[in-house]
Amino acid sequence: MLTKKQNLYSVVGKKVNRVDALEKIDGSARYVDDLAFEDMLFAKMVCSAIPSGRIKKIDKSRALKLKGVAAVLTAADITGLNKIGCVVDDQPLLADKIVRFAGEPIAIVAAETREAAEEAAGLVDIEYEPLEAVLNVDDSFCEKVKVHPKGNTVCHYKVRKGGDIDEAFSKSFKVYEKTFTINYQEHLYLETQGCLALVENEGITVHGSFQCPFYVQGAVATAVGLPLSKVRVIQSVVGGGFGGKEDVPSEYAAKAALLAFVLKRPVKLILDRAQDLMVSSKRHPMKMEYKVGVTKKGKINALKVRALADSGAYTTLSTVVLFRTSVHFGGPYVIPNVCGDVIGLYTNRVPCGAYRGFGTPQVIYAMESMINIICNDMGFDPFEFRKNNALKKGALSINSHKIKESCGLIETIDKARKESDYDKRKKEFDRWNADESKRTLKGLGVSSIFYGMNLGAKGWFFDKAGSHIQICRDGSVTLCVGNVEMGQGAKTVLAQIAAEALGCQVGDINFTNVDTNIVPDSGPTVASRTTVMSGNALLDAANKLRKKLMNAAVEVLKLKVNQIMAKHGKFYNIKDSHQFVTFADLAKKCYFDNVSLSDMGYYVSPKVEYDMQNGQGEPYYVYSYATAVSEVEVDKKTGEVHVNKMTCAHDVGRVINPMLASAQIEGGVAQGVGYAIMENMVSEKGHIKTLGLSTYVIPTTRDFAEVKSVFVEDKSKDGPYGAKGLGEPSLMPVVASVVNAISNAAGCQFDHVPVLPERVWEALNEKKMRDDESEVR
Amino acid sequence: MLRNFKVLTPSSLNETLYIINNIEQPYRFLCGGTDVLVRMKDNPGFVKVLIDISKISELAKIEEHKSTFVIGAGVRHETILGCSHFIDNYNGLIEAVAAIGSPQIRAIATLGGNIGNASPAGDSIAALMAFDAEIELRSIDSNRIIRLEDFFTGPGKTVLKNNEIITKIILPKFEGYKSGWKRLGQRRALTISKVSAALAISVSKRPNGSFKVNDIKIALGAVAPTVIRARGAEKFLLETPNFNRAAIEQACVLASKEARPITDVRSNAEYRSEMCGVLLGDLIERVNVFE
Repeated sequence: MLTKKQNLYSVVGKKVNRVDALEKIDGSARYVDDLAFEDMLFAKMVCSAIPSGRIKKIDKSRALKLKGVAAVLTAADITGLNKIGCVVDDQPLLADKIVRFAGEPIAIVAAETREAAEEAAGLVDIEYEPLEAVLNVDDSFCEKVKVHPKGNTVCHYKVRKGGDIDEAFSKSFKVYEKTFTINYQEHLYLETQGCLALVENEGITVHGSFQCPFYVQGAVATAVGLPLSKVRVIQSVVGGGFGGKEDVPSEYAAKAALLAFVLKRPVKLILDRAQDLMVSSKRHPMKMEYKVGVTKKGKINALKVRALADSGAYTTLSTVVLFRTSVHFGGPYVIPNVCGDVIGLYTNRVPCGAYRGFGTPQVIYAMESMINIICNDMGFDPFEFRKNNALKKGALSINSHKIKESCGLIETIDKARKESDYDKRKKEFDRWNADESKRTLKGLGVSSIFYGMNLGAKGWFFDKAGSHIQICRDGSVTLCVGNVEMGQGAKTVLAQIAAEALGCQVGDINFTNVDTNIVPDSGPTVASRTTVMSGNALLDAANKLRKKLMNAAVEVLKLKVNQIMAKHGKFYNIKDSHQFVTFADLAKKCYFDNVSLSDMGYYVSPKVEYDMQNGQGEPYYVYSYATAVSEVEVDKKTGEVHVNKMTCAHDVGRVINPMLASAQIEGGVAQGVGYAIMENMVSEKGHIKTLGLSTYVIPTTRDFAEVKSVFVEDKSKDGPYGAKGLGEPSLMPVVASVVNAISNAAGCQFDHVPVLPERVWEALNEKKMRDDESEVR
Repeated sequence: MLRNFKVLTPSSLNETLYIINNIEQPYRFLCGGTDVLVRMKDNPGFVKVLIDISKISELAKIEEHKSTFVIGAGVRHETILGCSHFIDNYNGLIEAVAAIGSPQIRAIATLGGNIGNASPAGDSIAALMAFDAEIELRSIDSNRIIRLEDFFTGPGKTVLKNNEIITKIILPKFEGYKSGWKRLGQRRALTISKVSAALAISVSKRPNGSFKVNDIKIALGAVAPTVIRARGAEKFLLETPNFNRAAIEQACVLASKEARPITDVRSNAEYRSEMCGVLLGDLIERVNVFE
């Protein structure tokens, strides 16, 4: 339903088809593996076979003898610096003397064919002296064995709010405690990691599947030893990222670039699925100890949290991911007394990093599980309890951030209840579950979230974006931005924003590939920030150009600026739409009047103030909010779970494209449901055992829930047309609401994710035994 | 990555038999390729020669005889699903074959391939074993027919000799039987079974209204080194004087005990055992024997 105000807009808020749909359907989209250059070599990484140890010897001779092998490079061959750490300098590009996880790259091979490269990689002989490996957070925390000489703590974020936490608990009516654990999640983008590097103009050009071309530029410059201006990164079409192509592709691009630089030939490096699963970063497994105090009236008065995150062998993005954890562990609630510790720990396992939700789905699962326990035990309605504690304008978050604007949380709670038909379904389900002849149990689960927009206090220094718009003399428009399309629909939404501002049609707009030579460093395509950041950067450029077009229109139409309206490719008299001049004619006029229709735009995220010592201040400038309701069905005999339906109400400030926003939510639900009940990465002694798609299993359409998306539009003053981000929020409440629904159906709160059928079956048996015992008594 | 291998493409079964009688390098047959190509990618050294038998028409026939159906080893799953004989009389086979892989896999993968791959989780194997299927193995100078159950010796291991090929699957005709197949996987489709069960059962009603099992065959998948028959449960039900819900429950317990599963990345041993009984109970219920 559109309000009158929204009707003012011609393309914003409309169901515009994806501008990149056709090329992806007809196969003409060029992914990096579709690119080829003359004389190109293929690269393959040689990875550590053990989780922890010293490299005693690397023997390249057998590999080099193989026909078609051009080079085998190791740490000693790096022309620049052997470092790849994005935030902290603790990770080498190629392992030197020591390996810290099974799969850590040690050497890189280039050969004339993929086959030769792969065979040669198997012929690089590495001799190790194994060392004791640290394989879980508890062992890491003890520090009996150190993964790095400086110790095992990657980072430690503290949040201290209110008074003495023990005193606060002593004043609680009831106190609840529980420890939760959660496994890895793999991104499983359809297109595995890949890049292609070549020497051009005495520098390096890299093509590839990236979320953050400017990170890649930096990593290549460091590894090869070139100034940034000699490194050009050109984005290829991306087959999914989900955070997995944030910092990680830099590792591969730097290796390919090094080979290209040394050999002076183009080099392509594409990871196969097994290697991608083994070496690329994952979502952090966590152990989360929660203690929540509640007043008699159902107000949360105290929260104590200790979350231990398995960061793996290197920091990668852990410090920023876990910063976000420290802001979101209490959920979107007002809690006067908070004592939280979020600790990232090194282990001898694969590094963990960015993944849609960025360190929050884990703690949301724990916090929302606690609320489910409280509601069930004290008899509170799950929606009323959440509303009773919800953030609203004027309230303080756990970081004491006073919420000033754009807070639609309560509205999402109300809408989720109504649109899910919760009250009716609850009664139906209670009747269903009371009938012992039924094979299944049904359950409903609720979860609410908030999500800090953009990079926040920990990343403000690179929270900027640039754009370039050029209007050609025939009225067609070229856009260039620094954030990438990775399947999320950025191009379409950004084209809508630009078309709205310029007064042209979406069909007039063409995108230049993201190219670090053309736009200023726009930071990463992460943190659900692209609509807001690149959208605002485009608005900045478009508004300058619109003024020039308007001046031309004033001349042609002989009207004043405030008498002219621009939309759908026409500038016309507000009072008489038959009196108009086309966008194309204005472009032509400007061209022959020598008025430039080419301009740059730039946008910087609002500055925030935050005290890292006690976790108090403004971690982010504004938040998105959401509430989800899940309906699940649990097989009493097999423990199998099916998510039948999810209703998701999201406050996104302004919906730029309702069709894409719904699709984004459906994608988030699919990925969240997989995380909740299916995806189980199995490790043994530091080796991942699920290195294929037949063992690491994600949902298919058969497993998919019916998704109902509902929107709340509490506009953000700093967003383009009021918009906030949705990419990550779409996934964030899913796990918690699904697990709460399973827990409510089964009658016990599940303390480990994924909730596999084996565990549900066991829990149902345990419950039956308990029930039988109490009957005997 | 596939590399360092050669492909031979015999144009007849005889030529194939000649080749495998004389070949010295490790080889595998290529028909659908849905298992062998995946294995070669994971382990490029394991086979040096592929013998492409996908074009050999003698292997792709389905014939009806007086008391049997004979299915060529190269018959594709999709073909089985389109065959009315099977739809009408071998529901368990249809259910199993329809659940194998994806439409793309079923369009190219073959019944002989699923058997030759000898996975303890092989879905068509469990269904075929519940129909007492036999297979024909041929070499240049021999032709033997063995029970499918006797073909497997362990995961990926069979009694097939290096100069032999599976040519036919022989299904006895079943009249008055009801059959079914069911599995549990990590998801609803496109998945490898973590437990599966197949059932063929013939039941008659006595004049006094009680039921008697005339014949029953139960196969269990992914719960032992090979697909197994649950002989204990079968025997119990055959001998039970009164085939009723209590007897079924007891048979389910017996089936669970016959399983010898392992714990691996897909599931754990205890759950697998228990689920054998659950699946058997579900199948008996589903085929509606008391009708």
